[in-house]
Amino acid sequence: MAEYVRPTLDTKFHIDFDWWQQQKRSLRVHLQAHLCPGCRAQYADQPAEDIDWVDPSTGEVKRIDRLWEVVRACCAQRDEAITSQTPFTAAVFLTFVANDNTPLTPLELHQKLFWRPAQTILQTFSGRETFYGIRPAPGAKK
Amino acid sequence: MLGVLASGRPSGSGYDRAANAAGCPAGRADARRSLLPTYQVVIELREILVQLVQRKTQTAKYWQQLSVTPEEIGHLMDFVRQNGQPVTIEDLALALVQQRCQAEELAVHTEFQRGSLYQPQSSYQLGEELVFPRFNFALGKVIGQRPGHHPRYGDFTVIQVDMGARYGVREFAAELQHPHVLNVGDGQALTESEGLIPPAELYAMYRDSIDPALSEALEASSEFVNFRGKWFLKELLAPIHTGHLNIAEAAIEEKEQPLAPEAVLKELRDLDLPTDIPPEVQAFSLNVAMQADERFSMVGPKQQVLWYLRRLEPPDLGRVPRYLVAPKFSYDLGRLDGELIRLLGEIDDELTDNAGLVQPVPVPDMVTLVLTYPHRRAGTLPITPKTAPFFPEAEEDYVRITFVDRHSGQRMPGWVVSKHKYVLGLGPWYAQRKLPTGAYISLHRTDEPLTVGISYRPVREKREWIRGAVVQAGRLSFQNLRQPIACEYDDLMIVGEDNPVALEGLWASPEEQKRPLLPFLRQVALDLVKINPQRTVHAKTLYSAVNIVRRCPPAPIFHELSSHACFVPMGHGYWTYDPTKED
Repeated sequence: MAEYVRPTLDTKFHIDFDWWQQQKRSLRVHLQAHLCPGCRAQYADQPAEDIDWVDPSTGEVKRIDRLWEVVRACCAQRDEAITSQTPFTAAVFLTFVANDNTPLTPLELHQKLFWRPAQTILQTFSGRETFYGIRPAPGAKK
Repeated sequence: MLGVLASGRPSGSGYDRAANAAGCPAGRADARRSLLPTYQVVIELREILVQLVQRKTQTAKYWQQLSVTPEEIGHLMDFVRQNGQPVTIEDLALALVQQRCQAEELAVHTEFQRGSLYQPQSSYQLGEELVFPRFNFALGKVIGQRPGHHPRYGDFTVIQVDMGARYGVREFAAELQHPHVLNVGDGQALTESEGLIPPAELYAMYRDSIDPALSEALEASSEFVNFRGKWFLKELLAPIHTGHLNIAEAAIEEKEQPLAPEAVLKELRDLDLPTDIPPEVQAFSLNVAMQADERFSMVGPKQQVLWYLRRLEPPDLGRVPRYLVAPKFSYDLGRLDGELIRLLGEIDDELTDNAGLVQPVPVPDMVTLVLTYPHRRAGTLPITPKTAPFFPEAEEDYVRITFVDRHSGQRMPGWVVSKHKYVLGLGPWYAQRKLPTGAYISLHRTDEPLTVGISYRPVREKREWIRGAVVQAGRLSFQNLRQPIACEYDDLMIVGEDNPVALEGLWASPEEQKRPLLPFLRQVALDLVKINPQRTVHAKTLYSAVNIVRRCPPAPIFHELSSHACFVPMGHGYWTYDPTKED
């Protein structure tokens, strides 16, 4: 049974990797777009390799592309990666990557992306359209 | 859209699974779905799921409807016994919340005791059954293992777990050396790994509901006693009997001053109080006993218990002096000009609502105020923003303080009645010093606790022409009188009296106090204008004169001045009266 969540400002969100599979979209291709120049030169042409990502909240393991760890450790941590000029949904995506997908509430996201109101963050990611798999995290209460 | 499904699956399929889980046959679920509007289906679905997955203690409704059971009272009695001393309502409430959360956790544990609690740091064997707190305590069976691969985690294992129809087969980390929130270590409870709000936080969130419900239950219990916000068990009180209380009474009478319970206990030290009872419990027991005995009254400020004898208190302490009682007035400060607003802040009247008025700069060691007729007659001083820092605040009805005359060293008992904003006990001093209405009085800080210095500004006595209140044809009038004055005073506020007894007879009864202010104000203004060579009267003088026969703060008087054309402003707070412009 799917766990139903009515999102509020206190609901934890995360990137749902299953969404990428269901939508038949490539997380690797998307991550490549966020590589910094140095990492792009080093990793862009390397063959794909999966790692066992461990969900920091549930302990569940997901097989995801190694580029996740590259973007998390380097590219998403750079000052210029997430700014008020970064497209909003991309900024939230990169915030989760930088955070290794630890679930965050709209209020907590607002602390990191202070130029976007928490209510806007909530409305954007609890609407009909799903952006980059960002959804309420299962069982993640505040 | 009212909500989304966290797994990302469409709402319809989620509804079927939820309905099945809740005991709804698929056909019925389909039928209901076809009959109900979509939003109603979603709301029902949400309610079903909330009941399935959410612990009751995590909801506001649970604490708002709190009813403390007799068993829980027993548990709290054990809590107090273990503490061995009086505890606050906060201590008891937190113990109650913790007990409820533990009971709920135990129930959850019991329900899911079929398997081990999953923790990423542990190793698991094929066939082992595990419970997953973040998946609503779902039970899963380990059906496979493989080495894990991650550049940061080092060596670890990935286990495949069959979690049944609800969650399917999923992979989890095992033997993971990397820190993880699900690892239950020292001091970490299952509630944390489940992502629940801990008891202390729950109490902080819902204490407005919990505290009153618990207080009510404790008061209804015959086992608990309460004194100044602390609770204790009757069975643990030290045995205080009438003999002890008689000695306490004698000690207070002999010292002629309030005594703290610790000081009273010293007087009782030779009696038969058990020595193994801690001093704090002895003091609490004595306080409970003295509180129940009508001979004693509690006269300490906040955070301090002091006991005194009711029979040594002024007989009129229990009621507000009639000179200080005012009816409710309606007025609009918006009508007052800047000058009147400034004067409002200058006049020390305890009935003035000082919100929004300019506050005087706090003077650390001394303040001066002007004595008004009502306070002079009542033998009191007002508690205003200016004088309040000099007086302790009463925890209950009043605090006993000591006034010390700065000139003579004379000590006088005073009574701070915080609730009604006055300090009683200066009647004899006013009379002895022959202080008129309008005299300057100063308050001084002292190094002694609960002691306030007081002084006036003495001058060589001489007869001066001042405005005076007289009784003519049974009503208040004003004349210039030549009277002996022996102190400095405020020219605008001074009002002499030629016959205090006759004036006292004019003081308005409670019914007369409720009559409209305007007719009386016109009469007073006209009388005062007549005796002034400039044919004007200052707003402060009007305030002082009105209060000779009826209690009225300055704001309603100033409101009337500003609202009627017969009162003509002359500038700098002065007004004249024009009878031809009466409404």
